[in-house]
Amino acid sequence: MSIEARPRRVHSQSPTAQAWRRFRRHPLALAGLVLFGIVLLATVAAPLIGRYDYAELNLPDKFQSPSLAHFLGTDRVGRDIWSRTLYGGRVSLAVGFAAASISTVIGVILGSVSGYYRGMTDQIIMRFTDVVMTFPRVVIILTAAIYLGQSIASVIFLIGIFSWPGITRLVRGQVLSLREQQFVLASRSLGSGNRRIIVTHVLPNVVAPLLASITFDVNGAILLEAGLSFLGVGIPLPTPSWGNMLESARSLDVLQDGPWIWVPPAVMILLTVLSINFIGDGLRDAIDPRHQQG
Amino acid sequence: MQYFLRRVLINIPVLFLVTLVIYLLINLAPGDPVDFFVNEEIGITKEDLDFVRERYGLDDPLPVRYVKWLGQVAQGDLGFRFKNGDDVAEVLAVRMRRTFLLMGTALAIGIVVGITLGIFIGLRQYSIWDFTFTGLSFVGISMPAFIAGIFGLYVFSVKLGWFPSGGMRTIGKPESLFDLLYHLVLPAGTLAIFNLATFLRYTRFSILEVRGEDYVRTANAKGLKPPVVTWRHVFRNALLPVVTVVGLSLPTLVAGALFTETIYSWPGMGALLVDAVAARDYPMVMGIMLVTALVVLTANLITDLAYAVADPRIRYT
Repeated sequence: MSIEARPRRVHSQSPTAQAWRRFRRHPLALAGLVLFGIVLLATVAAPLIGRYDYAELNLPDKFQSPSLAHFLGTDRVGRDIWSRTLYGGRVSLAVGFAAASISTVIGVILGSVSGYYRGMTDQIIMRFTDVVMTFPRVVIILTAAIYLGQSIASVIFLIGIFSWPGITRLVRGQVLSLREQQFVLASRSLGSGNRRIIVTHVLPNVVAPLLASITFDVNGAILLEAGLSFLGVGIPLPTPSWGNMLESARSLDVLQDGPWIWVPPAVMILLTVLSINFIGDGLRDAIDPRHQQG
Repeated sequence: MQYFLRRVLINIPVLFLVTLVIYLLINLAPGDPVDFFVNEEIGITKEDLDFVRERYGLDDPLPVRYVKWLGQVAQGDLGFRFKNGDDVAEVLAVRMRRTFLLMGTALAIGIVVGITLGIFIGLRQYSIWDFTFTGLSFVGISMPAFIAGIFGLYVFSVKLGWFPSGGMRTIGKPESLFDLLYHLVLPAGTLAIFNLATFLRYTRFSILEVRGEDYVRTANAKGLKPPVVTWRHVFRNALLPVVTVVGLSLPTLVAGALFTETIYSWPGMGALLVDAVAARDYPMVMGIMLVTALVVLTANLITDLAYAVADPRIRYT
């Protein structure tokens, strides 16, 4: 019997498949995914499990501690906290994702233009990025909020247009190195124009490193919305968001005597942000195995 | 030397753009700025408004006003508050000191505790300490200042009564350092959490990475005592990048201070900004934004230069 090398099946997995495999083996990332799934499901199912209208005033039942009728009690005007927490999650998550989408689009466009064309264009865009990064986002959005009336749309817009510098820098760095690659040269020699090269050859390679960054961006947007609403310049009442529910804790009597009013949104923000951080960390480790942070 | 020069010079256009952005942001706002002074009760006349307009130089075209304003700012003249006519620069000087006290304390706590713990667990990967503190640090970076602040206020002030709920000193008591520190504990602690967790995570990561380097293996292999390797080879290289993280943490610190000051009624710049924006007190808002931008730019510059001094390999490209 001769020892024969058994023909080994060649594992030629795509980088994406490999990354996904690594992601699945990342315990924290999975925990984050499950946790986030639960939060998401609860907010999506808000009309089913909410029981009360989130905006309905019920003055006789105001400021009640948790009971069977109101799982999490009621606020100062008798609105059901359980319903408001669920519906508030919809608003907070929607704002987070929408704002992060805006900043991602801006960041990808500016970053790829900057990195691909280099030279003067790059200089101008990068200095502009420096300028925006000079202001803490809360500070500039707080000021810019003077312009726009309070509404969900304006909060999304403001967070979106001031959150792109991080992504711009990341994309620019990637594009700077990608544009020197052989396949770009090959495409160019086949007669592709700049736009075609950017869209079909450069950008698809940026997606992987960008993913983790986008998750952290979503987190940033959720926190920013909560922070702005907490300061009273975010989502206007009676629409609930976790941030403006938390705002009620700024008056001492609610803080002191009604923890059921502000603890649920606080816990939800913490859980959401924590789970997205786990996911983002897992994604980063999966995409760049060198970056293992345990 | 050339690196230093370039690094400093590159900030000049950024600084100009920053002033332009601030100016445009405020002055393109809809509505007439002098609306602030319209008051039915006192019976403000149109002549009065024109007087105000002239006093604040609101009649000139925008570019002229910008250049004038820039000239004044360069001389340290930030104008007067709409609200009560106070000198913006004077108010800022007082408020800034308080905010810097708060931010400085928080940053010091973050650096000392964060980096120490980061080193500690970085040298003990997968130990029980590592899991505990890495886990806690995850909570720390997921905890925004306003949530930490509310929980801190509720637990340590309302429930336990250990610390005052706000302000900088006890009313009716003579001003004393102890009293100030007593009021500083909660806000500074709150503000420190996020940066502490960030520094801890980064230090740990950096230590782990350096410990896997070839030169560390070589140092161990040639028989150097472990403490020597740790001090001379690991720390020197691992702690360098932490400098950058500390320097870049300033914007988050400023943002955090805004919430912390609001929650604990710490009379600093952040709380002032929230008030000034609500009151449309434009000169005050511009002053605060300008100072904030200057602080962040300076911190970035110092970080870059400090890093270049500490690590001669870094050169501007």
